[in-house]
Amino acid sequence: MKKGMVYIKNLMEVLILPIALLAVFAVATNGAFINSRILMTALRQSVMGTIVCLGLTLNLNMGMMNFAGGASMICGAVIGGNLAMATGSGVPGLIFFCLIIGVGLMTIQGGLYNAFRVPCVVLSLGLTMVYEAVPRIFYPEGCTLPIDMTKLALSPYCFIIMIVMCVAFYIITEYTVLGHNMKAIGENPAIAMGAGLNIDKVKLMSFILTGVFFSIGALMYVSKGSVDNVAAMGSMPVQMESFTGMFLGKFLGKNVNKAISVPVGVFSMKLLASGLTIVGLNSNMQTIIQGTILLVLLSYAANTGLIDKIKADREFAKMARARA
Amino acid sequence: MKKQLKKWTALLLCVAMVFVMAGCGNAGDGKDDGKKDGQKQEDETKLTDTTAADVDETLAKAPHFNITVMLGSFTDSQGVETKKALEYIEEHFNVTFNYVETSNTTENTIAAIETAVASDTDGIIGACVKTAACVQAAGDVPMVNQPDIGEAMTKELAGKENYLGSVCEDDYAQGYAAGKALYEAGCRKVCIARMTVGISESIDNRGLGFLDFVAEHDDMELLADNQSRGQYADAVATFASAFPEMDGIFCVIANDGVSQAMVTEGLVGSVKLATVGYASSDKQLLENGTLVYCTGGKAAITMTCFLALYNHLLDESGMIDGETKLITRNSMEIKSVEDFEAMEKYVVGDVPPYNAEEMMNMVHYFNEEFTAGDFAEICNNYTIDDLMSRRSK
Repeated sequence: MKKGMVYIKNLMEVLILPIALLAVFAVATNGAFINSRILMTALRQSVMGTIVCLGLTLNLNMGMMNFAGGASMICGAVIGGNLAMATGSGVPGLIFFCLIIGVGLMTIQGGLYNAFRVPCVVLSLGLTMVYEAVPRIFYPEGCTLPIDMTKLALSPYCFIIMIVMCVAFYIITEYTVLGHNMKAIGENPAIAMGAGLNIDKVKLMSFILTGVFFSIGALMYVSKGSVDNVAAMGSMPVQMESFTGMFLGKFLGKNVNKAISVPVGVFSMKLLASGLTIVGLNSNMQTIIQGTILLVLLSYAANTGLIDKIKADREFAKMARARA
Repeated sequence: MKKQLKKWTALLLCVAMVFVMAGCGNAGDGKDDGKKDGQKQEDETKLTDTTAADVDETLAKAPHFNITVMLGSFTDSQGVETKKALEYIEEHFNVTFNYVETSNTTENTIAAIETAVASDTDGIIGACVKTAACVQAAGDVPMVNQPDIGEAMTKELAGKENYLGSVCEDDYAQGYAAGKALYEAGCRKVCIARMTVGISESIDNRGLGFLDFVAEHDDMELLADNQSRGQYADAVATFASAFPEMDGIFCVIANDGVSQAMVTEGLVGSVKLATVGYASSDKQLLENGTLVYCTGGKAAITMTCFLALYNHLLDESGMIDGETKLITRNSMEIKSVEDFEAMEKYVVGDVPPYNAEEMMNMVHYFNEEFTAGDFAEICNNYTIDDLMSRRSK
């Protein structure tokens, strides 16, 4: 019973941000914001970001920041989309080709990481340029799907995909040996190695799993209709869109699995963006407000230990004074 | 009798050969100074009646130039169209292009210009030249820029002889025309999806043109102004969910995602769309009356830059006004399926908006009577009708 109450309390902690945002925008728009279509649109827009965030989180949990996510998604989306059209294999072909390409790219990245021992940030930045260039060689015009191949981005398919990916993430991180090994390496690689874990193997597996998430992200991306090729780190905005949600999810999800906090974090950011547009704020103010909210929340998250320490010190001082 | 017939035939063939040789000899003399009026008339006839092979032969005789062409990206729809047009030019003219993508950042532009100068390029067609430093980086290498750099910077660069000027389309006018098209289609409650202000002046101007049109019409209301870096399809979805009363959307950049969002959000039939540029799926939206305005044929901007630069390289002919240092091209408006089909056929097809012969006629070196005024007029007359009439000839 007590465990259940704790879980509900933790869940409420996660949900407090979107609920607060809803309340603020409901007041600002005289209730017009509480509209099922607005909420469903924000939720639909957060699907791709959520899936990419979960993929990034798998790497980040092991202390690896992967900047090649956006580029691998564009590569997978452009090549996968065009191959699916060329073979006439429709949506199943699209899923297949996106998966093959996305997993392949991340497997290469994992292999290179283990082979050269280059920091993940450096390696991923280098590979970003390669991944951006590859689809331009084969399909310089990018990829535009016919409308009958874009149904995965629509309700209910997109929500089904998001739920499947969140559940998969939850199972991987909570109920598999690999998930526990990844957590152990992320917390203390030296102890993990001492305990006999094959760090290279676990890291390679984490890249492969990240590739699966990026592949599905690419699938959702191209299912929006079209993907243009980019150059010179032009893929960064695709990934950066997810970064804020990822950090927000990390902040919100201290006591719950990221499979819950990350979607809520990404959804909150989308809700904020939609709300500020509907309220009629100009772009500069929107950016300032989004940045400020994020900064306040992340600063609070980073310093929660400090706040607890100050509280404990005060308690200790109080007790000391009482004894004196 | 037979012998005599052979003699006469041989004589006739000789005379014919002399005429043919004389004709060939004249083809290369088009640039000679001191021509008589009669000869000039003959040349004019030659320019209009020449075959494709003659054009290529004439163009091939001109000196060779290496030209660096910069663009934000050669892989978006405008970039692909532009590259195709440049490849066509490379095929017919005696020039070699070096393509550089700058991602529309000043840093990349300066670096690319410096590299081009170091590699002995003969001329530069620049993009995203936002500061005088970009032009200064070119040293003495002649440079034409796209799009407009603004009045203040033009004044700042007044003394730089290598800066020949800029070529642009009137982006403000396109935004204004998009507003007008929506208004004429009966839209009164509209939304705008635009690029975050400050990234690109030319794209900002599209938004300003539209907003000014809305502000000038009391019966038109702006419901929402969404600014993002490319997330226009998401903006359409947000508008659709928040403003059921909306009847028009202006998107500053055409995008297949936006076109498809109009369908997937169920806006076809109730909301009109206007964009600058076009997406491949726009034909369907024109057919069902959703799309009321878009523009195309933007490869002509870079072609104009090339012609201005090429004229300068060949005989220092100035095709851009020395004071304003600006050519503002008319934008090709597309408002119907017929317009779109014509654009697909004549702009995106194998031959770009200006074919080799038309371009040759726009080069003073080959056509001595061609002036900067003619050049400006051609740029100003650029419409889908103009293109169709040129091709029908």
